[in-house]
Amino acid sequence: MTAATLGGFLRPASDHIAAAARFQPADLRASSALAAARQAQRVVAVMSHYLGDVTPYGDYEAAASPDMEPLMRTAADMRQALEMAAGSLDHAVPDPGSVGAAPEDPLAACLAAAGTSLAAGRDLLVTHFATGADGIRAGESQWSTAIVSPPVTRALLEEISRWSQQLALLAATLTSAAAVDPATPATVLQGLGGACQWLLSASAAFEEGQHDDPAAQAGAELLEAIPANSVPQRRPPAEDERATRLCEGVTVSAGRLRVIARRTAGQAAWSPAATAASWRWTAKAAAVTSHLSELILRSLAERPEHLAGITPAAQLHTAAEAAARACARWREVAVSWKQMTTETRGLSAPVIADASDLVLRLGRLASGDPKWTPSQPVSAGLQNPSELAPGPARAAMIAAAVHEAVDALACVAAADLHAVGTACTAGRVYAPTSTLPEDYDVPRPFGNPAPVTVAILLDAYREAEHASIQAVTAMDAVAVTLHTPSRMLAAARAATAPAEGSSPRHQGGIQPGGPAQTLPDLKDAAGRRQPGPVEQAVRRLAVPDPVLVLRAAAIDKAARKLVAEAEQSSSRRRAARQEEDPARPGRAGRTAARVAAESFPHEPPATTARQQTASPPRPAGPRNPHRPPSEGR
Amino acid sequence: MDEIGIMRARVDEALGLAETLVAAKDAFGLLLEMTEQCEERRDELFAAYAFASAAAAEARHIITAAPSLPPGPAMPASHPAPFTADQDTTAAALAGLARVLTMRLSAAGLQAGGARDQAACLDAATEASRIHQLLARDS
Repeated sequence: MTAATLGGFLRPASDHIAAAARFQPADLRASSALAAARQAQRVVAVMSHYLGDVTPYGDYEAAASPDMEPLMRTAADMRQALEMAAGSLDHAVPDPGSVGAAPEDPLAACLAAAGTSLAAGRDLLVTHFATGADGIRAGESQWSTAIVSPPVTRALLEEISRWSQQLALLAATLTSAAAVDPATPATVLQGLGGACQWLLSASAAFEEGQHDDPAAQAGAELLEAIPANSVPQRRPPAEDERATRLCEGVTVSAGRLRVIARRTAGQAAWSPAATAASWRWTAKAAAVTSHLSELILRSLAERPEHLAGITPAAQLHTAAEAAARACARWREVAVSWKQMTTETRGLSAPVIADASDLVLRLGRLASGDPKWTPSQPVSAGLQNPSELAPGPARAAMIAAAVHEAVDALACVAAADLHAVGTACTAGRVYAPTSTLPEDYDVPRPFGNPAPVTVAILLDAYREAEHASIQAVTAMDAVAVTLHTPSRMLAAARAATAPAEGSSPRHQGGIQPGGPAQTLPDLKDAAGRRQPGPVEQAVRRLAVPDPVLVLRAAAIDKAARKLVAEAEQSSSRRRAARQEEDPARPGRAGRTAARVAAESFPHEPPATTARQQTASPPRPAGPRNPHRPPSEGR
Repeated sequence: MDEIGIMRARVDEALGLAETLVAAKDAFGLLLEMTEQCEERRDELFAAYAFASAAAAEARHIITAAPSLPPGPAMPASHPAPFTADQDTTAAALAGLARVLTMRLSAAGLQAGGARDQAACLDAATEASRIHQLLARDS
């Protein structure tokens, strides 16, 4: 079973929306308008949430930022329009009905299915981010940066623009059908009409903002390829696996390693499963994996005529050499661990099983022996290149497996560098006392290693990470040339490279937490949306550009939000002042009894505070004209 | 090869827990050095030597933590001369040393009085068994 990808949800949603848009008035039942409007409201709301996730700008910022990058401006405009459309549909159908029940009306059922697919797709995207206690949303996977990259964002906007256009057509159809039914409430007609207008505005916002981008197709492919950030089910190696199953298994193990290594890296300060034995063994496994990858790549390079007529032999040799360098760097990591240990022992780290599966399967691919284990030699049965890759399809499949493996090693290197650094800082790493400098007076068999030893270890990890990244980069070129299934890993890396120079909001998947906050629209007594002063002014000018109307509405909304924030701030200041000054009129809870109690003397007059601190009483005598009148009272 | 044979005899003839632990620690040190040398060659048994060296390094730390290991500096780790024997002969010799370590440490663990000594002996025996499985040249 292949992993879930965003395309698996977006494509059905697209099909359902397109099918809904093809409904003709003659196909509609009497109750279709209401039922369909109810479901359409959900679809449009989810579409606006997609844009809220990629647009870290609130209403005020979007309205007051003239220098916003064009793609973000387009996304903000479209989000605004879709929120308006959802609001109009909400006005048309005030009673949301039962959310869980499947609609009976075929058009509503179609839209309900679209809404469900879109919501599930958004849930998939959300797995790649987490909101911290500080409210900042940060990336949780290597896909996080790609998801918010310009190519993927543009592809998403293009899809949503197309859906908006189709839903606008549907809204117009529903309006026509509802208009001939005298029982249809006026609010329904107004809501559908308003939704149609705003959906067209959303679509127009993209048309205005789009750029001629030759990478648009790549962005669309990448959008569909985004996987869920979850741990696939482990698939233990079996002894009867042949090339196809071995390659599938490598992909599963690589996927598990990426997620597990990243998730457990932060636990190294306290987890008893994070042991030196595990890190040492993982480094060895990475070295062996790199070595086996080198053997496989050199074998593939020996039969360039089987590579679909293209001769990537040079690329394969480059990748093989990069894998050999990565092997050497990982061996150095293991050597650096030779003199160090942790207080807990054993191969208990969560990555051990999957790293072992990776070694087994690559070894079986390289040797051609489905029962190969590390105790057996490889080259004794190293597959004849023509048996390893008898044709272009098999060559691409095997190259993809190697690509996945080296990509996973790069992730492991980054994660382990972080984990080991954390463990060293937490004092969990020890060295035998006999290996410590002479001035270390440690009356036990083990003590914390010298800082220079730790530095050597961490430097070794950095070198291994660097070498692994170089190996991945070399394999990216091979994957693109051979058009392997793993080429999306290369595409994701390529998509994020330009994002390094863009605004901080668009980097690294780090965004303010959650969708931007918005205010509900102003409505009149009948519940109809009321345009604000700026929107009214723009509408009076009868400008043909719906995006201008959209931005005017956004400015009105941002202004209302700013006023609301100012009112809240003022209320808080008033409340704080009243708390500090109990004599201030209007203090809550200041009853007559409380006032009386404050005035009641709590001590006998002879022992009031003033008299206690004053000098001892003098004998009565003439009044001193220089003493202030208040003294002695 | 002589070094391996000498070390094997020393482990086999060690008397008592303390002497066994000292011999085992030195034996694991020799295993570590020799498997790392073999790794350098990156020949057909690269994977076997890589994981065997990891196990030898861990076993040496386990023995070092055993309470009954006598204090004081151990015998300096030997730096075996580069060997020219074929890979199968070398692997078989190292596997033989690992097998002896497995047997002697398992026995010492059963006879050890303290729980920590028992655990150290048995855990080190497990690592030695792992090395034997990796390097044994039976079919």
